[in-house]
Amino acid sequence: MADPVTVSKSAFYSVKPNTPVQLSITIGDGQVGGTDVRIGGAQIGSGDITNLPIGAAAQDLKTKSIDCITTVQRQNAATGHTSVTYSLRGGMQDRDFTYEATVNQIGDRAVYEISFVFA
Amino acid sequence: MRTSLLRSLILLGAAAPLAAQSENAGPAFNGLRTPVSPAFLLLGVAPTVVERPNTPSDFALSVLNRGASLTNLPRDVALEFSPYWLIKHPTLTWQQDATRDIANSVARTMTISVATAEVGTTARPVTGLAVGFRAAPVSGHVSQSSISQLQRLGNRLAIESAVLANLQAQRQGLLATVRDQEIAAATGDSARQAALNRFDAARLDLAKSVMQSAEYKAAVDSTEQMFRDLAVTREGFVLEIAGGAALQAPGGVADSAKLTRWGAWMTAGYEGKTLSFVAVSRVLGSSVDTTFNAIDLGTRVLYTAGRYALSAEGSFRSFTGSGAPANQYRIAALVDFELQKGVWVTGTFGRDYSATGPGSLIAHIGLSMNVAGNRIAIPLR
Repeated sequence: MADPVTVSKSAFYSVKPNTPVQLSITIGDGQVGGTDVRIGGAQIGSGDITNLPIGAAAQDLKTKSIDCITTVQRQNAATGHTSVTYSLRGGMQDRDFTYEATVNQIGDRAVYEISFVFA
Repeated sequence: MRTSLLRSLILLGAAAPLAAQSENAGPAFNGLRTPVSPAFLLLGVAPTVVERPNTPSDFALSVLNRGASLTNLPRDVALEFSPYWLIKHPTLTWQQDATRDIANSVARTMTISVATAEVGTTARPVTGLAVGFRAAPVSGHVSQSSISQLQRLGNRLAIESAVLANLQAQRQGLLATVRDQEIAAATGDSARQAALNRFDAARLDLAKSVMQSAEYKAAVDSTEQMFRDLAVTREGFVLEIAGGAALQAPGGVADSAKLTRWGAWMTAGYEGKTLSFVAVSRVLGSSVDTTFNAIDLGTRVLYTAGRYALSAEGSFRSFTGSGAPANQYRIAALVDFELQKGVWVTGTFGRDYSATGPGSLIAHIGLSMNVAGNRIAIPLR
């Protein structure tokens, strides 16, 4: 089995003062995957992530960050493309961050290590 | 004799939803099915290396590599691609692809094959060129068992992600601290972005290191063991179509190319948990070889139940060229029974196309070993 293809990326996301945000994750190209989401090292989400609340009510997220690890395994025989879209809602603007990687064989993995720093 | 044989086969079909088929049975029937690559079949080639570009740039490279001259046809090309999957689909989840409407089914299953080969002689070189397509306007749906397995796989991959996060938590925490200090000290957007980039590079090295750890590899191996036999299957009604044409160009000159062969295929079937059927039709034509002109129709029904399978198949062939032989038909019934794990008794009975020729009576009983994979081939796969 081949070593996983690894993607390590970070991005800033502008938040509103004292306002939580929501995170959704879409694993595209017909592939299969699962995610671990942490804030400050503590797990806050796992598996399929849809509208996951980040922060408590009235919590100011500025300068905080979240770390997501998504492992995608190729199960689509038609393509080796893999992609993961991280959708953040509730900040200054709703934004989608899409990252991509290509694997060769059925069963090969792509590991996405993605962080968002709230600004 | 023929009538009684046919009657007995019909009775067999009525008693147990018709016939079964071992993997190596029914090659005549399988030959009628929608081919994977119509262009290769029409050209009569079986290329050992087929280029299958996955991206538009790969595709462009394949074309440019082969099409250096537009006046002479390139030789020994074997290219197959799916237009839909050449581009990326970041919003298409596997759940959304579990069921498909007709337009999506055509788009996601269509493949185009192109082949060229030298079909003449040294003294009279002729380049053959064939183009074909294949698509499934109806492609069933992902089986419920596959859906359950894929859901469990997704959960398992989330656990792998958590193992990775735990293993790198301490050192990643230190990297994040440095990153946050650099961001706080940054005086502009480029400096802040540079801090992120340094963090990403350091974390990439960290991840690659952690992925070599025994703990992470154990988690991956555990997943692999749990899903070793995972095969995503679709079931329900399936309709496949294919078509293609072959041309010959004496001397490889593009302007001299003439249409020589063409063909069309249609395969329709239903795959259920125990009962499956498939019907096939094929039309072949040629402007240079009338013995190639023929229409074929066939059907097969397969019933599987644990340790045995029954199937029956029938096919009819009509030659359409002038002076062609009479119509022919072939019928066969097959039985597979698993005596013990991996050991199968197989029986095949029927008549071949040419009832007057030696070997036209099909009557085989034998033992076969099959310790890996599915013994019973579902007609639609």
